[in-house]
Amino acid sequence: MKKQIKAPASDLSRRDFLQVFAAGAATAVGTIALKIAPLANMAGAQDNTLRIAWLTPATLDPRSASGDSEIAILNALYDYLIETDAAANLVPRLASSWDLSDDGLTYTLHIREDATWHDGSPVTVDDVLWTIQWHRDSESTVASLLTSAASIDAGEGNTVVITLGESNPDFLYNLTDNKFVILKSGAENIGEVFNGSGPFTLEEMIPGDRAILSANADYWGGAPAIERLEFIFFDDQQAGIAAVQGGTADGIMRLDNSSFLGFSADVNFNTTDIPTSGHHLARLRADRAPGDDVRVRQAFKLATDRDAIWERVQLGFGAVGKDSPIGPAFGQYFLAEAEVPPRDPAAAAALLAEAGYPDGLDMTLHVPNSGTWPDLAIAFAAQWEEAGIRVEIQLEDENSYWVEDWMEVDLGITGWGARPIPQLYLDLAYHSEAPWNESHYSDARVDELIELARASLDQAERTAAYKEIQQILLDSGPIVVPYFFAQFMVLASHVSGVALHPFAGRTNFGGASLG
Amino acid sequence: MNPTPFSRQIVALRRFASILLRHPQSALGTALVFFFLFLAVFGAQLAPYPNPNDQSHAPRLSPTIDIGALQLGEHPFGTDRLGRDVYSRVILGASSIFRIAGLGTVISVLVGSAVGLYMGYRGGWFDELLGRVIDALLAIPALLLALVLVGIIRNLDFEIGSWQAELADNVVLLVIAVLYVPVVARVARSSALDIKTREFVEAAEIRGEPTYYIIYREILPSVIPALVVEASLRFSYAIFLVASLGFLGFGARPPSPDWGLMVNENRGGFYQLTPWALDFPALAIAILVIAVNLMSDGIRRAVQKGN
Repeated sequence: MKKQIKAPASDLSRRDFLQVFAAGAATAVGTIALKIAPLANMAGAQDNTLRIAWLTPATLDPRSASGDSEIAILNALYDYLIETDAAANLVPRLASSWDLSDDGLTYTLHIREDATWHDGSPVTVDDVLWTIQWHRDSESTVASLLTSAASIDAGEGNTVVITLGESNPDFLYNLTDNKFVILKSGAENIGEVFNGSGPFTLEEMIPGDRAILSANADYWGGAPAIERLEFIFFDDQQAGIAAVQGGTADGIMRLDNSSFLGFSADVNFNTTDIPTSGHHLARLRADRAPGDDVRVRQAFKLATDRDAIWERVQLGFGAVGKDSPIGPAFGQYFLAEAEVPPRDPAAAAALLAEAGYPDGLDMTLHVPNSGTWPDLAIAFAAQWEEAGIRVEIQLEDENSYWVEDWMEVDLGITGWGARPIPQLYLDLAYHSEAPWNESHYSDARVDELIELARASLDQAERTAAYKEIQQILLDSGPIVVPYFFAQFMVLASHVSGVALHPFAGRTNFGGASLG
Repeated sequence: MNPTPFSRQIVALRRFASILLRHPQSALGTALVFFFLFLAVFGAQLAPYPNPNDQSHAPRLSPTIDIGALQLGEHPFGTDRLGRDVYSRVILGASSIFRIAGLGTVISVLVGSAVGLYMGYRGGWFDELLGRVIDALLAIPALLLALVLVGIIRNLDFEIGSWQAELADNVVLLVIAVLYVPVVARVARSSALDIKTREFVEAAEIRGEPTYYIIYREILPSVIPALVVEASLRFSYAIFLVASLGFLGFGARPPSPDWGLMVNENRGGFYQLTPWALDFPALAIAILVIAVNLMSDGIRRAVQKGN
């Protein structure tokens, strides 16, 4: 019989193949088409609208807003009392100036008299007090930031007087909190209706798509140069990046290192990167074996090449770490002169042997499964292996990991977001009674220094305390901090006048102009 | 000269091989499969940097391979963002995909044909019951079932070093078995249904041979061609499944040089930076899957002609 019998199985497999290839080809063509098509939109920038790509906001209620896009909208529509600049200095906003009494306990904030709400009425001290009461009534995190204030009252003239129970040199930083926008007294439907005093007014909110903001011509700081500000929402970062590449958006502030590197080589974009105090770290539990032995902690430090990790995982953006949460972004507080011992796997292995682990250590490294964390884990694992520290990488689902496990595991990687003052990190994670003391670290001297820095009004004394803490953590602490990451901003080359804030959502667009 | 049973097998095998290799596609597919098998076995000797996690190279170097000049250069497939040699990682990745997909296929074919032949031969309530279970399993989309199983088993807490932990580490193997045992069993069952009515089976029954003997010595030999075809098909699907699970982050864990995982790790923003770190493992997956399919097409053809 010459004719070949065809089994249906063969037809099926070929058909499957054709389908797979067709799908693949369609995807490829689609990708290319997507990259070309939006270029036609470049012309859209002519109508004096600045379009920024953000992740889709989940809530605009100031009590629960936290993401960049949520804060960005609040920051455009409302005013804060005080804000911080890129170097974490306090900058006046609704509070035009402030005084501190000699005993360090009473702050007097002078509220601007030329500020008005979008409905035309003036901003008053009552509005400030009402906002504080509103937060207290709902027990929000802003209220918890103000618990150290014994009283907050209206003072003489247009002032708010805050009296503290005990001195706190960093108290004003609490007023810069992302959630602490000033609302109009008696405001209703907060989070849905926005009668703010900020540089922009809300023209239209299209949920899941975009927020269209118009310049507030009566803004006390001067009307913005752009007529319109559009925040375009994307559900994932890559989509936002593609929109900027294609020209449907003019800028983006949350993007991964490698995409940023791609933009920085493109003449159509201006890129900005600033080092932040945000950092990633590997930490050992210091309250039980093996991390309770200082030699083991030192072995981890000696086995790590921080420069190589910074160069590879962060592509050299940000700054190299020195095993403490206080980095170069904190300026004078940073122990720049600290000498990190060069990597020496043999010496690390010797320390492990001394500590009772002559054959090295086998541990599980718990890593949140997103961003650059897995890469960091891989880099750590390869370096540590040469010192006999063999780790198995356990990728953890972020949603559940941060709920409970991260405080329990022996060896883990944690990311700490940028904060404006060093004290916050120390109070949160390094004091033996800190709520997020993830390494269960307890060092009497460190506790003493943290408490000293918390209350002292003597700047030199605080600086010395911070520096000593850094040295102790570098010498014997339970953490390895390989780098501080950068905050990025990519803007189309025709956009100017935007100064990036270390927390991207606090970037002000009032000074932006399109040319 | 009377051929001995052994030489008869040799002749059959040579006939099978000659039909398989006669078609250029299936010859090419078979050659490629053996090439990858060679990489899988001797990968550690062939890779220029046998430690897949060796990060001592400069990161983000472009590939140095020059096909025209037949030169590989220092880093033929470049280095990835962390400074690992992609060429070495692709070579070293062959072993895990062959081990998991291959072993998973062997387990599914062994268990599946045993179950299927027994069902087909024995029939009755046993066949009915298992048949329904198999239908139910086959009704669930394979990848979905795989993700659910991996997700559940991975999240159980086992003591490090215990056999349960070992099992959890090889969960993909288990998943392949769970997914493909029913498929193979169904093929084996339908073949057995056909064979069991033949005279030689009835003769064996009249002789009073035990069930296992009838299945093993009378039915199995006639079913083997169908099973071989099925096995080769399962193998190609298994490779695809292993790569898919690796890509979705449910298979091998970093920093293992698993191809699917490498594709996943290097997409997104990294693709602009080091496209080669994604392209080469993706190419390896594509070539291997196509090669196995071409080979299994050839096997099917050879088996049919042989009959």
